[in-house]
This record gives sequence, structure tokens and C-alpha cells, in this order.
Amino acid sequence: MIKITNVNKTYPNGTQALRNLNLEIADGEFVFIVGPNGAGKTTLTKLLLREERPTSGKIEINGYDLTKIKEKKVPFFRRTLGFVFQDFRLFNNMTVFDNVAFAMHVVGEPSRVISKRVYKFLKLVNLEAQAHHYPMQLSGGEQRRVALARALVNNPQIVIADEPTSNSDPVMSVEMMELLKKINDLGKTVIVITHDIKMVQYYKKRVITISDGIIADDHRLGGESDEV
Amino acid sequence: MKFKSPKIAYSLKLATNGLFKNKVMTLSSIFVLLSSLVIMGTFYVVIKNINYNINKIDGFNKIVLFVDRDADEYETEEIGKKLLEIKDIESVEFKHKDVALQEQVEQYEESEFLFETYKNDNPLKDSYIITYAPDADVETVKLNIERNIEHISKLNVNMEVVDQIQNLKNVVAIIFTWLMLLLLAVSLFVIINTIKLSVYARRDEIALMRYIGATSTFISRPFLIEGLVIGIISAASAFGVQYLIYKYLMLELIDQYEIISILPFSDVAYVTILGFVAIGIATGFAGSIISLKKYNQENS
Repeated sequence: MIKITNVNKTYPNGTQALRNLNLEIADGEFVFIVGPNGAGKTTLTKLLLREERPTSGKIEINGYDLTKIKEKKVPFFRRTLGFVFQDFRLFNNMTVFDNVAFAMHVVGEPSRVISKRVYKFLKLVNLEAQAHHYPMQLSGGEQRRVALARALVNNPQIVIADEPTSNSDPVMSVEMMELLKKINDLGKTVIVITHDIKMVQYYKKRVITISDGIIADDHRLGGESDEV
Repeated sequence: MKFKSPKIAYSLKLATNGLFKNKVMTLSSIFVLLSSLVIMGTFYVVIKNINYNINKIDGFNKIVLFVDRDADEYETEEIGKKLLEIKDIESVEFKHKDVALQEQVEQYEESEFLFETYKNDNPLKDSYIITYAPDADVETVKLNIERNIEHISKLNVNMEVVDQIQNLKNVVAIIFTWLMLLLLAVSLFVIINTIKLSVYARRDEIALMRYIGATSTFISRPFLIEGLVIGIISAASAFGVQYLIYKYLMLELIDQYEIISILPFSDVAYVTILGFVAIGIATGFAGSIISLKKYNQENS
């Protein structure tokens, strides 16, 4: 559950990135966040990850009040989220398996649990056979799926994907979106930050449009369209 | 080796990777810390041996107490017992006035006749030669004797020798302290830079760890282990080098000169290894903490 109430964010240089933002995302929802460059999407993402604090207002995510949370509790809050970076942020000196396992090592899971769960999620993203390959040996789409597996492996309640279809061909984009849909079907809340309007229209989910630091539009599209 | 905590095992793995990834800086850190420790250690053993030789100088750390002529045999004997109860007094040696006279006679053998008149009426006094701890303050020892002992005729302290030796010891101690501080600062500076490089090389990893939910302790631990490993390796190697220097330079070379005595290595080994390990670990840890703090300040 995400609840954002009257949130404002002004950076020290005076830029007002978000203005009186109010937003609620229920558990298990699939949401697209769209908007032009500089609209405030990145700031919103940073607030959701508690990388930034709002200037005013309240943000509650998965039972944590991010405006009051103590610094030492932040890592435990972040474990309830899975984030897929636009640039994947994979380690080229680690195998696919180790890249995914890294997320579990960080939270202190024992090796026997890690091995089992990493393979489970590599299977989910169809990369079981590439477990011992290095990222440089994979295609862009495959690298993106490794990043998704890493975001999922700690069983987060919410998955946030930043531009998951950028620089991908249509087939790879659909493949990625289908995976996110599958994850949503498994009960996870999925938030996709994107510029890919065609994809947004195709999936007919809730779409939040941010423009100039405010929510310009928030509507739900019904039924899936037939063409991309 | 199996670790109960998977976090510690993984931190060790990351620390090992970090040390090997920056092997040039790791080796230079070890070399600088090792050199500093060896210089400090050499200074320590030299000072220890200087003190050992100084303490052997006759007259230093000795006070002569002359017993008042009024004191009877029992009271004179009690003085000896009471002296041993005074802080910092290591030993006392009683010299009967007849023995003192005999020594004088023997010293001036050719003029023995001069002492003939004194043989029946000895003008000398019974005395105690008191040896106090070499590092004790002579003024305090003297004061304690005066306060606690009765029937003192005179207390003889060779203040000139004591002062000169004390001054020499103070100068050596001051030089040692400054040198140690300087060497520690240099070592710390190099370790800070090594860990800083290691942190910088892993900045993407650290950023990702933060997003995934790693605690500050988990992120810092590998770097602290790196500092610790550098400290321990430096301390162990420095002890080996120190042993060789002591064996081949001090024991085999300097000990040939009869006027200088060199302590056996076992007399300095304990403090040396403890000092090396303590300084090595403290410097390694401090270096890691300072560089992590700097990194966090720059990236928060």
C-alpha cells in the first residue's frame, strides 16, 4: 500500500519538483506512471525509494512512514521494494547467478536458501540456462530480465521498474511487460515508470500522468487492446 | 572455513576481493605500516637497551643512608626492614661502620698508618645502600625515606648523575613519542587512501547495496575487515623483521663490545608483538572508519 498525502518537494537550488501530490496505490495494483522529461517522475521515484525526503507532506509505504522513519530502519523498508533500474546496474565481473544472489547476500540469507531461490527466479524470467554466463554475454533484453530477477528475489511487496522497455525492440518490450504482468498476477504491486505510450495503451491499466510536478491525470483503462 | 553468520562470510569474501582488486595499494599500505612499526619497534628496543645499560651505571638509582650514632643495634636493624616497605625501593644492603673503615684502609693501603687512631674509635657510621626502581622519581623516594625512617644521620644521593641520566631519558622519550606520532600519521594517511580507493572502486556496488536494503554495518564491514587484515599482516611481518634486526644487528654485532650489554630478545619480544598488533589493528581500523566516514559525507 502506497499513500502519498500533500507532498511537496523543493530542491536546495529552488527547483520545485513536486507540488501538493496526493496518490494512493493499493496492494496488488499495476500502475503506469507517465509524463514528459522534467515532470517529476524521477523525484517521485526517489521519494518512493526514500532516497530523498519530501519538503512537506506524508508518504506511507508498506506500513513505513517515510517522513518519520529513522535512518537505521531505511534498509529494512527498502527490502519491501524491488527496483529495476533503467540501466540494469548489473556487475559485469559477476555471473548471472551471482548478480541475482548478490541481493540475497546483502540481506544476509544463508547460501543454501540463496541457491534454491535464485534458480527459482531465473526460471521465472527464463534465464536458468544462462545462470553461469556473464552479463556481457547476454542480450539487452536478457540483461533486463536478470535485473528483474534480482529485484524479485527478496520477495518484495512492491516492484518498481524504471523505463523497462527503453532501448528495446517491440518483441523484447512485450516479453518484459508480460513478465511484469505475470509478477502482478502473483500478487505483487507493480509500478512502471515509462515514456512508452503504446505499451501503456496496450496494457490498459491504471495510468498516472505527472506534469509540471503535479498529477495531471489518473485514470484506469479497461480491457486489453489487440495491437501494440 | 564455515561461518555461522552468512553476512560475515560474504563480507570476508568482499574484503578479500577488495584487497586483491587494489593489490598495489594494499601492498603499499602493508609496506608503509610495516616500515613504521619496525622503526617504532627498533626505537623501543634501543631505548629499552639504553635504559638497561644506564641502570647498570654505578651510583645511579642508589641512595646511601647513614644511621645516626644514637641508634642501637635493634633500631638499626629495624631501619633495614622499614626501608623495604617503602614504595619503589627494590633492595637494601647494610654496611657496618667497621666494614666501611676497613674498605677505607684497603683503599689507602700505603697510608694505612693514618687510620691507626680510628681503629679503636671508628668515626664512620653504619649505612644502608638503597637501590630504588630505575624509573622511580628519586625526590619522592627520598621524601618517603625521610618521612618513614627515624635515626637518619644523612641521606646521600648523587643528584648530578641522577639528573643527567634523567635528562637523557627524557630527551629519548620525547624523541620516541614524536617519532611514533609522525609514523602513525603517515601510516594512517596511506591506509585511509587505500580504503578510499577500495570504496571508490566499489561505489556502484555500495549504491546498489543501499537500494537493495543493506544496512550501514553490512556495507562498512568488508572495509573494516580490509583495514584489519592490513593491520594484522603488517604487524606479523614487522615482528619477523624486528626479530631479524635484533638477532643480526644488536645481538651479534653490538653485543661484541664489552661495555654495552644487550638484552635477550625474549625480554623485548612480548611488548613488541603486543604493541605491533595493537598499533596495526588500531591504525587499520581507524583508516577504514575515517575513509568510510569521508565517503558517506561526500555521498549523502
